[in-house]
Amino acid sequence: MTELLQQTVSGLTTGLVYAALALAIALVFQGTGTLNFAQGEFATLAAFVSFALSTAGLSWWLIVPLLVVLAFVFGAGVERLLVRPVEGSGPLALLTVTAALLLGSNAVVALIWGTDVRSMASPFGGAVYHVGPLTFTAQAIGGGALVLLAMLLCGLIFRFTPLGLRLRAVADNPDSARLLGISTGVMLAVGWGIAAAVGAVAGLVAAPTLGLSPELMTNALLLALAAVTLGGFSSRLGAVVGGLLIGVLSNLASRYVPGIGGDLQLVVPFAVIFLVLLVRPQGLFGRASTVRA
Amino acid sequence: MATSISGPPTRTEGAAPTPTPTAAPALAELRPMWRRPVTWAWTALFVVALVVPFLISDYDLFKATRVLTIAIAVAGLNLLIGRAGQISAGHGALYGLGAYTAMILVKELGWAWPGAVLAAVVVSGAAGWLIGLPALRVRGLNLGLLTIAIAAIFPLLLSRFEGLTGGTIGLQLAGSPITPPAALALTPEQFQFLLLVVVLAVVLVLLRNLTTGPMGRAVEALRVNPLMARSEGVDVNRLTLTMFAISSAVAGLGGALGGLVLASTVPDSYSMFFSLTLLSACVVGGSRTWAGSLVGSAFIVYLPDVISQQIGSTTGGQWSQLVYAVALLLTLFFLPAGVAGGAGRWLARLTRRLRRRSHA
Repeated sequence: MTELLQQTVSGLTTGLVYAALALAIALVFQGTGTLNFAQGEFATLAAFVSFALSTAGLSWWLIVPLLVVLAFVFGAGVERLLVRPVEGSGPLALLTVTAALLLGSNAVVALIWGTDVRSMASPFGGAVYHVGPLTFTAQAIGGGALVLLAMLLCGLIFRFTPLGLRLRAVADNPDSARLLGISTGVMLAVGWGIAAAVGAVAGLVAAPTLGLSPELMTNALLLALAAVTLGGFSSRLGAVVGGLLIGVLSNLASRYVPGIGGDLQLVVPFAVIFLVLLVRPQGLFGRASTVRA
Repeated sequence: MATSISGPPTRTEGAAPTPTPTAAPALAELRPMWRRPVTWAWTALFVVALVVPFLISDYDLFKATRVLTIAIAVAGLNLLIGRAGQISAGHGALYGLGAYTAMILVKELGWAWPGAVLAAVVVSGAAGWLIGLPALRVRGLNLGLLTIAIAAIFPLLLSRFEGLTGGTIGLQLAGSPITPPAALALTPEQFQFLLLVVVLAVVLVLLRNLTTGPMGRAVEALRVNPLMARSEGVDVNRLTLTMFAISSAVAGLGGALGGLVLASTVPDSYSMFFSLTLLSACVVGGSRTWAGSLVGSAFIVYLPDVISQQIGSTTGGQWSQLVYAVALLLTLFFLPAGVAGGAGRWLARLTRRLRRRSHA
């Protein structure tokens, strides 16, 4: 029982990373209407930047806010410069652009920092705490809290600020939003920026446990895609819940289902994507959409 | 909007409001086959390809054969992306599936290579049909979602099922089973190249016929507007599945021949990045022209060589990956029809201008 509980808890802490990445993917999807295949690579890039900043001697109190700002500018810049030109060309071109971004940013990271796996010291120290029968590392607690904070902030922005209202308006109905005087272009860029910032936090938190390499978020991307599919592409909350579920599910599966260990954990998100699309394509929290000719 | 979809094979002028830009190709289609310039260019290329093996070294031929095997897979991707309007970010996995199926059949079960290649085509086609099933529920990006998941998971499965696939070391044969019959005085490389030229030509002709006949018009409707296609009596789901299955089978054919020519398959060759590289070959070459598959695959096969020669081989792979990405973006921004498509349009404009001048 204790073991099951421990596995669930550690599944939740890894699930938070997938949840944040899934939230980022959902944000881009709601605004631009495409999956951003490069979301994981953006997070990897952010993790490497934070690694470079910390080796340069900056304090983590400074690095985290700086990273969020940098990621926001980067995400918004990518949208303005590279995604904007194909915005009207349909989903195929958009998806291909994000595939190109994946290839490109993966190559850039590998060219600058090499392909070896580096260990990155946890920003939260190496302490271990015991609560009853359960064990927590400082990294799990601090990382979890940081991701939660990022997601909460993102949720608050969307729910309670005028900016959030505009962002939601553009996501719901771009044409009406434009008629109301909202600059849809700026809002899409802001959406990409917020997504990149949330993803950057996910990358920062994932790096100490997974080891820093250009492949840092490759698996996480797949898990996050599964999370968004499970939660529903049209729901931000769904993406987060989906991420937590996927985290717990893949952790439990790799512990209790014989044969699914290590790398093969990825069978879980694949199975989830396959089944959800087959059974309930709108996801748990999504709305089924009707299409009019 | 009543455009005829399942009518007679000649193009009917419907109530489409924009007939002017499509008028020229419609005329070209009505012209007899031997009077079309495109056909002449292809025939010339085919003849040149039959002579080439006797002019260049076996090493260069080996590279060129690789271009042809990849071109087969890219042609399959062209059918899917350019014609059916569906995306696949996982054709590298289907290519790999074909390669592994053929290799396992030849190595473990001692099949002759033609049988193994056919079996690989069937297996990849069936896999593609399966993958397509859940993607039908909601249209749009789901095929992209599913195929990139498959692209990511395929090499892991290969490494895991060691008993069948040889794990991370993969499968190797002492030499390629595709050898010339003794009666022909050819080197294996020459024979393989000629074989691939013929196979690619057959594949391209089949795919072209598929997309110009009545089925082609149904596919066109599917790409432009699935809802309209459905209201015109096209079974949209079945057609999407068929297209994905055919495209996968073609990719498997390329993979099977590629694997057997190389006489080696390793999981690392079929990573997610290979799948995305195939995608960039398709888009950079031009997804709506069959010549694009050749241009695109030549691009992705020769570029890493050129780059390694320029800056050494340690970071060559990453530099070429970066160049693929940049080329992909530039093509999407400035040349949406791809290199071959853009060149074709430019040539058409040139010939039209020349003809007008000779009339005047």
